[in-house]
Amino acid sequence: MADWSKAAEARGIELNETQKERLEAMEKSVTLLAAMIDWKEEPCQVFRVQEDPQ
Amino acid sequence: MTVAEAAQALRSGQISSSELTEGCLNKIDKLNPQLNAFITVTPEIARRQAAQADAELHAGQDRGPLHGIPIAHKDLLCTLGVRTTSGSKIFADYVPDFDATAVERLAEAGAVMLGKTGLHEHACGVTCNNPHFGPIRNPWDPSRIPGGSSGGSAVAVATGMALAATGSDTGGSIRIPAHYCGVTGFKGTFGLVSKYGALPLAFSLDHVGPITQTILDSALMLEILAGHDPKDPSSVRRPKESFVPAPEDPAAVLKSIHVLLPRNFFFEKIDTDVKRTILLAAQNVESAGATFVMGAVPDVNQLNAVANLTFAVEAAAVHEPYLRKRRASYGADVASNVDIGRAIPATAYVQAQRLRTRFQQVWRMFLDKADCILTPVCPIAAPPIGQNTVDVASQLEDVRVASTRLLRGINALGFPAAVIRAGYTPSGLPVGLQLIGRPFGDAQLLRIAHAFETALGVERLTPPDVS
Repeated sequence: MADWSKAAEARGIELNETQKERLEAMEKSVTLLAAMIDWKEEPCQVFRVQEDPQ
Repeated sequence: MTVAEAAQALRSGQISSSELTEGCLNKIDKLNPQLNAFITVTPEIARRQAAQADAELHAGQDRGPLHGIPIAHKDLLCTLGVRTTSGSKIFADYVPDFDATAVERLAEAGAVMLGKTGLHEHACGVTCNNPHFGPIRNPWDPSRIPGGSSGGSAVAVATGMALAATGSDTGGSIRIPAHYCGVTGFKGTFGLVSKYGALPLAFSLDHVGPITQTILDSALMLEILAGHDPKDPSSVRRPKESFVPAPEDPAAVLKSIHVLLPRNFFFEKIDTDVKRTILLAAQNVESAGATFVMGAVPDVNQLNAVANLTFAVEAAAVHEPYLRKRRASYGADVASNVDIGRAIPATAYVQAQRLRTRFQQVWRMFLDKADCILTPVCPIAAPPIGQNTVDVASQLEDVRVASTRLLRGINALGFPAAVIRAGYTPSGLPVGLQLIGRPFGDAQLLRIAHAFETALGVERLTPPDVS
């Protein structure tokens, strides 16, 4: 069982076999793609202070 | 009748908005019991707005091309005083006390609201086989799905129950039903059209846009829908521009553009009839003057992986509170998708966003080499209702995966994409083609798509038993 599925199970999220397979596929993809990340750059712009009131 | 044709007829006095509206309401009465495109029909509102539109036009007050045009709204766009269900049991009785910005802008432009169209539950799927409101049916073959999630809007436009409609697109939800139902759809650059008042599915992937008979009609709709909205944090501030293609010779437009036809991924696992239809369309456009370049596009599987993960996590973030309290109110497929999102670690989501930025840069540079990319929309024509898997080039594939895999990545990039009619399969099912443009190159993409549409001249056939 993949780590994500184990972690989900530990948190009480019940997954069937199909869901586990989809999750495992995503985990594999992201693990492989992680090699493409430039670890020196800012992670992402998820937060910025708005200068103008919206 | 298209929006552009109706607008002309209204101004020449050939027809009134009230007559157009009654025509649509009659079609809804006749066809909706079978096709189930509308969840809510609003005849009183429609008749009142049509009468007002007629009175204004009579008095010389012209609000523009949508003035007096009967349209429908996807039932996840909030409408003041009219229930907005999102195709779900959770929101089955929700009556908003405000209009979504898209609804408000179209109303200000004089459009007449016929009602609210059905969708896949919470817009989280492609079949529109809705467990709460019943299946929506494809007018070309009612035993088949219309595609989704904006299936009701596409069916309404394909049958003339509405002259145009709004849709939303998180992983293909405007483009898939446009392809399966033989109409036109446009997903603008992320941030171009306000999402305020659209019940969310995945906040960084959701787009609101038009579903119409022609690309010119989509441009007329976008002209009204686009523009900064302070109520939507993702809305962008840009100088005002026109999206309506100028009347010009399509051959001149085509002679000035380079179209990229991907050598990899998009045509690799695809139904033979669909492939033949798209490639024939490409050949016809090339004959009309466009320069085609064959080339390999960046890895779409990688892009889809990032899009899938982003979608799952953001959808879980939206639905987790409801799912915890009211799991039984969710359809099995939607609950399953949300559960997967809940199981993904937060770190993976952040890494996916870093990759997404990287992919955006790569695809942006790639699009410097061409004016647009031409691809199929879906690898198949509309599959039968209730079928979970489809045979695609002798391989069984999940209907949701097959329907979204050529589209979902474009939502992660946020780039604009248009779907126009390419032709029909030998069994008479519609096939669309997708044109992907540069970010904020929406006006240029519409111009190209309009030239394609004119050059191809694909007949706007009426679905059987509808005329």
